[in-house]
Amino acid sequence: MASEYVLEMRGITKIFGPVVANEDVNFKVRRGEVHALVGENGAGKSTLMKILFGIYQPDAGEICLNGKRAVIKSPSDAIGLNIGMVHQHFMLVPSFTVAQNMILGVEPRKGITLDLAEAEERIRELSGVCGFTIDPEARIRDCPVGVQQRVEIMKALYRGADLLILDEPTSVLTPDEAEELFEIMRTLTHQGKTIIFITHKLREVMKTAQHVTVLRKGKTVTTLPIDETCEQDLALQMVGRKVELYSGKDEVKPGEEIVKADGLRAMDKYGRWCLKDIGFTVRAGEILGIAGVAGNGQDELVDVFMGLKKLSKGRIEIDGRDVTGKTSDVIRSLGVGYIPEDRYERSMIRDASVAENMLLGFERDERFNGFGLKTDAIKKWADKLIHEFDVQPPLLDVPAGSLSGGNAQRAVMAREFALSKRVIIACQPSHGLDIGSIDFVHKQLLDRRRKGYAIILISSDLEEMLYLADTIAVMYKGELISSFPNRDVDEKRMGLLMAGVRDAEPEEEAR
Amino acid sequence: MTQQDNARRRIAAGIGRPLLAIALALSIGLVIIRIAGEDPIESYKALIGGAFVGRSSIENTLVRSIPVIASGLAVAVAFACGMFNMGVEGQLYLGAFAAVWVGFTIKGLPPVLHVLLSMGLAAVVGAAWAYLPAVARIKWGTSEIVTTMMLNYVAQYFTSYLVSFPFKEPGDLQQTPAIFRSAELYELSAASRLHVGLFLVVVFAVVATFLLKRTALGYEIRMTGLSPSVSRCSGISTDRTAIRAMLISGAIGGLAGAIEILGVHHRFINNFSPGYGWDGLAVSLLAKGNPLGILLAGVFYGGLQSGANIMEFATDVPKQLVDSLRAIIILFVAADFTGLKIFKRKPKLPSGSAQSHRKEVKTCGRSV
Amino acid sequence: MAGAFNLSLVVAAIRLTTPILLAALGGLFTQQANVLNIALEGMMLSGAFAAVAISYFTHSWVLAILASMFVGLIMAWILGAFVVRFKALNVIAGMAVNLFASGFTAFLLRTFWVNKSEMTQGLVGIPDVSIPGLSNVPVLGELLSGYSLLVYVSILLIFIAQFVLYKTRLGLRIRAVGEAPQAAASLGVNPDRIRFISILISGVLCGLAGAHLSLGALCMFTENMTAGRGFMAMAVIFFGDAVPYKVAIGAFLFGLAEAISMRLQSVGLPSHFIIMIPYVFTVVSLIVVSINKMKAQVSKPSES
Repeated sequence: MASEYVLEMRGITKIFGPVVANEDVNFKVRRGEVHALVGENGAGKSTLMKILFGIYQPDAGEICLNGKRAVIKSPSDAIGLNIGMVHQHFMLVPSFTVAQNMILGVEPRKGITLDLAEAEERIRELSGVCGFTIDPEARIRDCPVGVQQRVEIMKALYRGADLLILDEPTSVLTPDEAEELFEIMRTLTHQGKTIIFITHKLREVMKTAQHVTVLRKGKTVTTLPIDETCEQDLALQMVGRKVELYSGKDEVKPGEEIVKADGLRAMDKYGRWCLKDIGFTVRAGEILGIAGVAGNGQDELVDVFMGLKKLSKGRIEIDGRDVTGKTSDVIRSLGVGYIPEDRYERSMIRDASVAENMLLGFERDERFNGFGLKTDAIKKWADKLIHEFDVQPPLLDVPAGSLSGGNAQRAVMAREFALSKRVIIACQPSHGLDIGSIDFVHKQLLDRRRKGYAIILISSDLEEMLYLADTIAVMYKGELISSFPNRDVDEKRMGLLMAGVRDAEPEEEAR
Repeated sequence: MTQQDNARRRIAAGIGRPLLAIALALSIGLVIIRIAGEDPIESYKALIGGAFVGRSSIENTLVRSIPVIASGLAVAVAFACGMFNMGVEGQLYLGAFAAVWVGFTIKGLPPVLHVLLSMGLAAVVGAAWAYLPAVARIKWGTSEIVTTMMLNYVAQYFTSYLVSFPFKEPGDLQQTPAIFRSAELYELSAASRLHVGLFLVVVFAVVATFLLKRTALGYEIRMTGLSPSVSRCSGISTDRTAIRAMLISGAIGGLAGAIEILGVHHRFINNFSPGYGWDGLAVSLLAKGNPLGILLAGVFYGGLQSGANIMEFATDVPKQLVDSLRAIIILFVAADFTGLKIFKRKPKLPSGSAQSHRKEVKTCGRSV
Repeated sequence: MAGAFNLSLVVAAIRLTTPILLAALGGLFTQQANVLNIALEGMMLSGAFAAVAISYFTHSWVLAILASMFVGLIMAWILGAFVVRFKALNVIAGMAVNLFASGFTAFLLRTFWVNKSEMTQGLVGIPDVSIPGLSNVPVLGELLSGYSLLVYVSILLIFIAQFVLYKTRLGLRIRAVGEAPQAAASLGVNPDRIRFISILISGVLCGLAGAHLSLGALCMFTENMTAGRGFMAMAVIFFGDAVPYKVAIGAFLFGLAEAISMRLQSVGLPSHFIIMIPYVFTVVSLIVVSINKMKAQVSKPSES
């Protein structure tokens, strides 16, 4: 009985303050299979896996390994229970050799010295099991990313892992390297190892997994055998079905072109193209939605727009002015409001007061800065902003870090809307918010649209996209693969596009 | 009402913590004196009396605290931006020398102008000395902690060379000629040599408060210190801000030296500073970088120092005891004991670098 | 004549190198664990005092050496507790340890012994070692024989440090924690523990450095007798990239600079610039190192 499932996680719940990261999650994995775990960013995949690996403790629920209840209090416990994890960001010491990385923490010794010969012997043995070879004396920093990943996999096996967690392993790989990884995964499962494969690339799921579990908003949506599903279906399961089309949206006649982007190209830190010839325009009174599964270049697109990342090629125009290569202060001074996804990395200073946060980007504005900062004017203004956007509690002197997610987002929007003259860039603006705040955010964005703003909305939430956007462009692997008016959309087509399947029909231009 | 409560609570915490640290250190001192076989009560009476009771005591305390306060302000401005200026000692030496040089070479200037010119050059030299570490930090990520600290020695040996050879006054002592009267800071008391520099550092503290709290630059400095990444995304030029903060810090460091030397010694004496720059660091820490708090902490520090002399004189307790107590105060103020509370254990996360508390200015302004 | 001058200069340089070298060998362990340790100076001074105190009471230089190491360890333990456990900024806590050592040794000296700033009476120093058979050989004998015991120990410690860092489990873990603490933590190596241990090692070796200073080189204790050697040791660590043999070379250069400057002083020439060289050199080499690191980071991705 115990043998069918290697792992059973039952009723797992994990709460961080006001955020429920996992809610009654059930997750079962069979021996010797590749089990894909998919879901949007923030769906709770990594929380679940961190619970499995002993980094977090669940607030409720239980974990069974091979039918036996297991208590996993630390990564060491997990390793002791033959669980291995390959983190998305490699946990390797760059200046060490492969062998040194392999043995760290479980060093074989001969007397008081390290027994590297023994380690190298075991690495050779393991090479047979994994179906690949690694030079034990190579330095990690000289190894290509693909090889580093193999080192990570072998490191887990070196510690006796039977159950391997691969956290978005292909996000750093080229297509060829990814193919090789899939081959390795097959070899491992043939050897009786079990693999949990975390990803949001659905094509890879279809290619490698036997079962797939979809998480959305912290809950298990479904677990399916791979032959009972397809990419579009999974895409929709991930982002949520279109519940209803918003009907009350005003018709706004788009005005002149305000934002023009042409031929944008940029590289990521691994030196690969993350933006490939992106071009679009946004008119006054238009919301351009950029849809797509996260990690397909959306973040980089925003960064080049806000002057936070260098463009390799291309041209950006705002309101008729060429702003290519301008720094963020120049771009913001032109009235571009920016609502980022990662609040405390980009828009709110936790340890500064709410009033001080409301001044970010305005400190040189003559309304607030004459001979010294005009504190009364600032107070009055900040007070007005937080009341307008109903930030609770309406206090100016409390540190911004004490606000709840929804209220912090309101505060950010209040500031950015006040700053913006014609353009707003909003990234996952309702991510992690309660329903009331989501509604508020949406209303505000539509209000600005009515007032003739050009708005770029980046979201992987399909519902939100269909609700707000006038034009939807789908981003896939650094390209805008299609762009069409909202009314032309249907679920099936959306799912295909988000999975990277281009339209069979002739592509409509972005007008 | 709640806003006021909040502010009040923060001020209470800001004062309470150092006071607690001081109380702890003094009690440790009590035990030490007892073990040394002396009378702790008598000793502390002498210490506190020597520091704060009676006109001459107070004057001595104030004289001692002037350069410490100025140095503390220098450290605080850089720290507000997340930078460690460990080089105040060096900036102080060079600033002092620059001021003295103006003081004894230029003749016939009206008094106020002469002082201003001296101090002006001191500020410029101090800022210049801080510029290199600042740029190295911003451009290449070189730890400004180590560079500023190493440059202290360079500055100290360099001024030592200057007063030993080219600018040495004839005689046995390694010192420059005296400055002209017109460059001296007005003396308030002949006995204690208390000088008008006292008012200057108060003015500095007020200006520093104004700068940090009430100007756009100060705002940018503080925000950059609190979160370089958010500041950068909000359009603050974090590189430029950090360099400016270091320049201001260095300038104040130079002024600290100028004030001490134009006010007290009236000539550059080799190795004249008993570590004012380091005291400044301690005071700044004690006051959590708050300029007005630095005034208080500086006077407290000066008081400990001058009181220690009296204590040594009156009892058999050596004044170095006070140095040890100062160190203990710093340790207690710097430590975070919240983890100890009733031994509650937080879930153990893999901890990052030992310097995780440090604000990384390095990350700012670097477009990938 | 010139030859003799050069030889004795080298001998003087070796003598002056030892305290810096010992402290630097200790400090390189913390550096490898990526803990900036500015308390070398204070731990060294405490060691120097402990050695003198125990030598005075027990007339045993062996016990004196042990005591110096023990006191260095205690100071390191305090530093480690505040930095690792109580999360004090290491720069601040290190400063405090330096200040405490300087104040407290002077306090103890004045309270329990003489009421002045130095103590020279009734001490048993660490013996010089003359190597049998070598001490009478003309040049070599002077160059290699007749140094204080800890000079030889410090040279031995270069190899031991090299061995510990690169051939043992502890060394592997220290380097891993210094370079990639999260990677180490993910493999069950507790970074805080390793940092603590590295601080303790630095304390023991700094204590030893102090013992050499007070009982090996001079046989006396004066207030603040370390005179910035702890900071020189820091500079040397940066200069040598925390690799023992490179650090040893750096320490010798510092020793040589000190020896030269002492010569110059004795003939009345300005030695200031020569003393300055190591510090200037440290700053320059630090900047060069970080520029190179940055270049490596920038160029690497675009190649692949």
